[in-house]
Amino acid sequence: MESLYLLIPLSVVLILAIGGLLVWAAMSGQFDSLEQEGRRILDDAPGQGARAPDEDGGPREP
Amino acid sequence: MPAAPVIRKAKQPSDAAAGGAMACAHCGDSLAGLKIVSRAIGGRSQDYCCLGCAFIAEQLHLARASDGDRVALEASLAQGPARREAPAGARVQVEIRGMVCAACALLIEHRLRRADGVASAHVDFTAQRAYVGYDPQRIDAAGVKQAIERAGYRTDVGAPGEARARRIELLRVLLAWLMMMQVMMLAVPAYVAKPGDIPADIEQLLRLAQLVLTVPVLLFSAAPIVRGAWSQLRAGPIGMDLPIMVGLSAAFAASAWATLTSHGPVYFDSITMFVALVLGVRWLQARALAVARGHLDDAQRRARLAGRRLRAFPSSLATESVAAEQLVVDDHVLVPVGETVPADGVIVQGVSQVSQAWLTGEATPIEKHDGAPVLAGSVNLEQPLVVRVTRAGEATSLAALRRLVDDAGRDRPRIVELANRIAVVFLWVVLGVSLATVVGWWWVDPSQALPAAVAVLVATCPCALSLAAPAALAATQSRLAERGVLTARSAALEVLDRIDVLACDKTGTLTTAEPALTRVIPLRGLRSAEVLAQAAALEAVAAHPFARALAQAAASVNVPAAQDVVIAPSAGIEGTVLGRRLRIGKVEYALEISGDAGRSAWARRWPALAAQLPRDDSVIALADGQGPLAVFAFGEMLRPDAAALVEQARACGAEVLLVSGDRAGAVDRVARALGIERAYAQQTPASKRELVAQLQASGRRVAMLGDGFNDAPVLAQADVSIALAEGAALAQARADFIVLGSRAADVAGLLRSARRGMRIVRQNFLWALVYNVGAIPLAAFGYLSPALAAVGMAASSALVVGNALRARR
Repeated sequence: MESLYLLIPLSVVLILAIGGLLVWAAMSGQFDSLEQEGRRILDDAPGQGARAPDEDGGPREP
Repeated sequence: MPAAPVIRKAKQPSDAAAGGAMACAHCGDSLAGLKIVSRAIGGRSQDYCCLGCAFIAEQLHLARASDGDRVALEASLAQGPARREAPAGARVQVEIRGMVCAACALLIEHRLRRADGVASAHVDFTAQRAYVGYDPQRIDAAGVKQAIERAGYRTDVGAPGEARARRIELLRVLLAWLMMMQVMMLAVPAYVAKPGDIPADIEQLLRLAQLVLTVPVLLFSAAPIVRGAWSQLRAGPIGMDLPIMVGLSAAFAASAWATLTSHGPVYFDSITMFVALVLGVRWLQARALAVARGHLDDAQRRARLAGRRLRAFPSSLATESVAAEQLVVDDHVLVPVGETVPADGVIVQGVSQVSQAWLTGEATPIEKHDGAPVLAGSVNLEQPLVVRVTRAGEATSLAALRRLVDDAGRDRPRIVELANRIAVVFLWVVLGVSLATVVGWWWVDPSQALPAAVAVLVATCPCALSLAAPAALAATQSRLAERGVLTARSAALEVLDRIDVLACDKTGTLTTAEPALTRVIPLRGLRSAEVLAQAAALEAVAAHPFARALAQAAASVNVPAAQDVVIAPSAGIEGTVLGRRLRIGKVEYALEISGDAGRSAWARRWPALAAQLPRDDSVIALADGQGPLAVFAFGEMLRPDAAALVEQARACGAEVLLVSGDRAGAVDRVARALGIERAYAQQTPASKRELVAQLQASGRRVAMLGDGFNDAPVLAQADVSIALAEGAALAQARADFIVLGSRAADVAGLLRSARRGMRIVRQNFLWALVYNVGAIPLAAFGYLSPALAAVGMAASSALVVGNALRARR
């Protein structure tokens, strides 16, 4: 029973931390476009743009 | 996503694709399983994953070919990854026009990151926006915009607050739901435990925990409600926010007091649950509207891209790129394959498949010939088209529809107004009753005075009342929007539910707007399929409605090719089919080929034929050198779903009238076929209006169903109006509901949805009233403990929202 004196406040702190995490996630735009983020993993060059689309097989002058 | 045309399924790599690899020639995405778009750009055929990529590739090609800065562009491409060590000195937000799918967003990110001086780039496809951090010493905001524009998109510097506001709204909902669940967990022990089961100090701890978690819900999540209540209090008119706020603050004050003094019940769980429900419903409402706007916005953005004006059309095909807003009526524009029509217009040259997905929600393309109208926002899929502009800019159907959707949210049904008025009255009654409760109990038992008053305030918080109508209406409207029925005036849902008469226009409403082949009579012992094949072969080149009807009817037979075809304008067509010279067209024209023999054969047969043909139908003949071969009759066809509509209207208790400007014979035929008893033929727009006014004078509520264009006066006169807006008529459509796909079945669905939606509103309303009114005396006389009141309040809110969601099914 005594453990509750620790556990209840601890759970409150934890919930507030999760709430804070939610604030960070929403405000950094993670819920803005779920579809696009899903496609990002298929992108070969995360964040670097090392392989630009036009460099391989892009339209070129004949 | 673009309303993707099905060009072909990827089975094997195209011989033209680079190195035989199955990858989009522009963005490099794998083409496996995708529908490929093939395009010849710069003389080479390439495969692309979507129209967006093909379009951009072409734009790039054009930019390189025409602007002469090809060298600079290639140099910037060859530069490789940007030096990213630059610290982010400044940030800019750029609004991007012309992104078609998420692939485009990634593409722009690539481009931006490689631009000199750009430290970070993030492109949000849904917000159509780029967030760019850059080093001000090496590049400025204009340079960032240029980098985006070089990738083939248009830009605007965006208002910075908008994305942030959207995130905060979402966060309010998320936090409210998170806290609701946690507070609920902490509240459960108090509900299930017997007195004395939980030590007092543990219970106190649980309450304190709930208090801590409820505060952010009230301060942050409920902020819009607090603001609304405050402005209503200061400036009026008093709406739902104020009564809600009174209930919430009473419950919170009582709970907080009870927690701090360790005496009395707490209602933190009801408070958080209610805030979560209200915000959830509001958020769903906003999202439903956003979804309805979304696909129109998409089409509008694409249409805004650019038009290719033909400077001197008939004499030369030289084009110049202009913004779509700069187009004026009677300009000629070239619409290449895969591009969006920039303005409403009429095809002057070319035959192609056009997708009007933005309008009808159907991706199935429609074949368009010269003379056919095309709408801004449609995508050209097969052949280049030359279009003469008839409406541009804000006058296009697309822009008109967008305005309608914007306006739709502005008026509220009477029942919502009524709920608001009741809530206000209710507020004063409740305040009065709780005051009386305090005073009354003071004489009887002072210790009961405060709990009873709080119970009254909590139990009667008009939460369910405030959710009853909006939740059900939002659910109904989003259901309608999914089916392509736009609600231009939400108040009309209520009227539609109680109509006595549904007056229908005939042409284009109950019948198809284009004629269909109604009868084929082969002569000289031939079979129908044979003559149909020959007729279709001859008519294959023509753009006449009859030709289309024939082609449709001959879809299942093998149509041979016709040679040496000669078209006699507004008479018919002559050509050689399977070695025989044939003519099809007006009877006199067709018979000329067989001379007097044919004419006399015709004169003998005609009386018998005429008896077999439907009256009022147009007749054409097919003949060869020996005489007539067959006659074809064309007339109106009932829409396949017209009967279902009439039935549905009757099931809703409405009488169906047929009101048409057509001749009596044709009108009667349709009325008989559908079992409509009262039909009015040869009506002018004015007499239609008169008729509706007469019906209204006899106390009946009339709904008018028309094409929204010719019927404008009568639509305005009717109590509620429904327009089947097919294409061109859309811009002029003034109706309460607009059925975009022009399917009669959707009108039947609309009647059903309106009925169902309003029934749910009434159920909700009744429940909320019964609960709130019933709870007052119970709470005032101390039979309803505040805790029980709180449970009742939360349960009735949840019940009302759950009931409303039924309208979506």
